[in-house]
Amino acid sequence: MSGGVPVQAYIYLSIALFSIGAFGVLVRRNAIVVFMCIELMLNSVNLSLVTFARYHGDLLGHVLVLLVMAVAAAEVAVGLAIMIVVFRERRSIYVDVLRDMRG
Amino acid sequence: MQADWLLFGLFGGVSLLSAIGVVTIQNAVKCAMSLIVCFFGLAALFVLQSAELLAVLEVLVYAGAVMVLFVFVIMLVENKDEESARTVLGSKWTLPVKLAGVGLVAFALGRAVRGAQFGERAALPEGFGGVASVGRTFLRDHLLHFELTSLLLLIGIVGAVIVARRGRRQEEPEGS
Repeated sequence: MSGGVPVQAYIYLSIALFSIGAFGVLVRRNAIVVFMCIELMLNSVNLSLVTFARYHGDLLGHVLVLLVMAVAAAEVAVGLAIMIVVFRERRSIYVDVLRDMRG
Repeated sequence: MQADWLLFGLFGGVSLLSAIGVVTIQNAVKCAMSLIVCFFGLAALFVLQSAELLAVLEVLVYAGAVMVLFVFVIMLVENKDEESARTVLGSKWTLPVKLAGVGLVAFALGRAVRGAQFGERAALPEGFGGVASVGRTFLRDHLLHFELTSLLLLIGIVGAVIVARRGRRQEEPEGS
């Protein structure tokens, strides 16, 4: 499988997905959508990890992907809980409304 | 060889288009649906690279658990005032600047990849990427990391519950 497609193609796709996610983090107002864009960035990195694991024939990349998944799951659980609390307090989840911590 | 390119183009295109959808669609729930499609495309790409276990976990953990959580929270915090009409942060003229910045980073990364020389892929051992081989690597060679991961997940669960409960107690101070 995937003998015909070069490694570069997968890495280019990973770069494209990462850039789209980073752009979303920069431009979206809704904090939950920003969160989803961060998930997209994490997944693009997962794709490149899997690609290099396949390239080297080494399962270490797969282990790293599993670690990233676990960290992302914990991050989503805590982050969304924080978001619910913020919404209860401020009635808003827009990142330009929540500017109390701005210096 | 042609079929490989076909599959890569199909699933890569699906994940790329749905990723663009996540950034551009206004409605947050539709963004979440687009992201689920993107995760399915990525899972198919994992299968193409003989990472079967990770593909299954991608669908189970991301498209399943994480996105269900996202959709729940979107529906909990949804507000319908005029504020929700604007999706773009800041004024309009910063958009091209941000796009140029991200594009510059992507261009630099692309140049770096283009300069790299990749040889043939390594020959795969039997059962590469299946449950048995990944489990053996993870649980025998990297047992400490596995245990630390489970500890992290436990901390995450407890932290999420505590954070969500504390907010409720502040809202009604005299309640038990």
